[in-house]
Amino acid sequence: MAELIKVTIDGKEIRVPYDTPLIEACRQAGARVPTLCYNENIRAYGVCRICMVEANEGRRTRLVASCAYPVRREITVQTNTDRLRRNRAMLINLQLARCPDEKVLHELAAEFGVKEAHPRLTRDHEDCILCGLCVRTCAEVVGASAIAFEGRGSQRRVVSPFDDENPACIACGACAFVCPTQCIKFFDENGKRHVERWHRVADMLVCEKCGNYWLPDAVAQTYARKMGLDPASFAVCTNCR
Amino acid sequence: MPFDPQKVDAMLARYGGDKSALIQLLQDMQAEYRYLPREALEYLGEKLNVPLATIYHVATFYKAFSLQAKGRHCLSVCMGTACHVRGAPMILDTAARELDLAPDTTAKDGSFTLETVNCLGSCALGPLVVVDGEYHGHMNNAKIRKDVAAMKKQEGK
Repeated sequence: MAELIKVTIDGKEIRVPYDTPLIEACRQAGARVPTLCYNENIRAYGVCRICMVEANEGRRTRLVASCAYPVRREITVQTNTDRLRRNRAMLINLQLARCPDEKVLHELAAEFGVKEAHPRLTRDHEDCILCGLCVRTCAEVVGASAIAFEGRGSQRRVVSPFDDENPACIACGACAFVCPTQCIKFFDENGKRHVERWHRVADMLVCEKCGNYWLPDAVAQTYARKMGLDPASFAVCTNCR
Repeated sequence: MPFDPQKVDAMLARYGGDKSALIQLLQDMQAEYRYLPREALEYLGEKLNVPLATIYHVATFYKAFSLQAKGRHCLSVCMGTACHVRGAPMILDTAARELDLAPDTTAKDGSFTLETVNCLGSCALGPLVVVDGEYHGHMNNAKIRKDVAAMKKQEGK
């Protein structure tokens, strides 16, 4: 068995395997670490910085993004100090200036005592916080890589290539599922699935038994290929099986 | 210029079809077409086995790449800090007036592009403009007019 490393979180001692993400260790110890861009099934990206904790590995205390920080030696962590709360408040402030209407941000703002975005910041009315979860899910989990970041700096946004329909998109809706602000929406209508943000309109399969449309064709094909299933096994919907 | 798969194949052969050469390939393509045609990017993605979204991400990230056709002649005015304090805004104004073009646009007939760049890393030469890839330093209004006139002459205007 791999060696276990001692981690002290808010005074509570636990042992975790080498390379465990610090955020997972914190959660195991029962600490609440807020985050916007982390999902345990996707490689850490460390971009929202809200999961910052104070970490001490013996010499000095530093702020680290706990999602992207692997535990490799004994470490002492604080997850809710004044310094952290101030830093998180500042980050939420900036996010609020970009997206003043997002529920997740308002919840975090309430938690960290941010009333509204700083008056000196100009407000955009974006719904996307650029956490990149959709892009990473599409590439890492779905394997389609149908969407990507465009541009950089203040011009950065998530789009399908050329802001046009991309046949590589299988219309699975995984991007909508992981999005923390729920700004990606899809609906099924007349045998087509529409993912509006990516301009995607995909054909759906009809269930042989009940005759309802139930799954985008491309999803069935992708899963049949990935899992070595017979495409015919998608002929009947999950309700009729 | 129409998109020609054979030309892209020749570029690909130069790098042995290696996907890590994506940026070099895009640079070659930009040099060939003066922009990155959509069909060419789609073709490149197929050949390199790189998702189109990834290529699009790279192509839109760097200012050296353009998805819109650039003019046959290109004038880039450096607006970096050093050039700015030495009068780059005035140079840009003059160039815009002489070319009758707004900054960061291309003439409708595809003749000229006037663009701004944020720093070319040759601050000692400021104010700096790049005329069709050639660096012209220590610019003033007289010199920029001369450069624009030379470009117009090449275009037969």
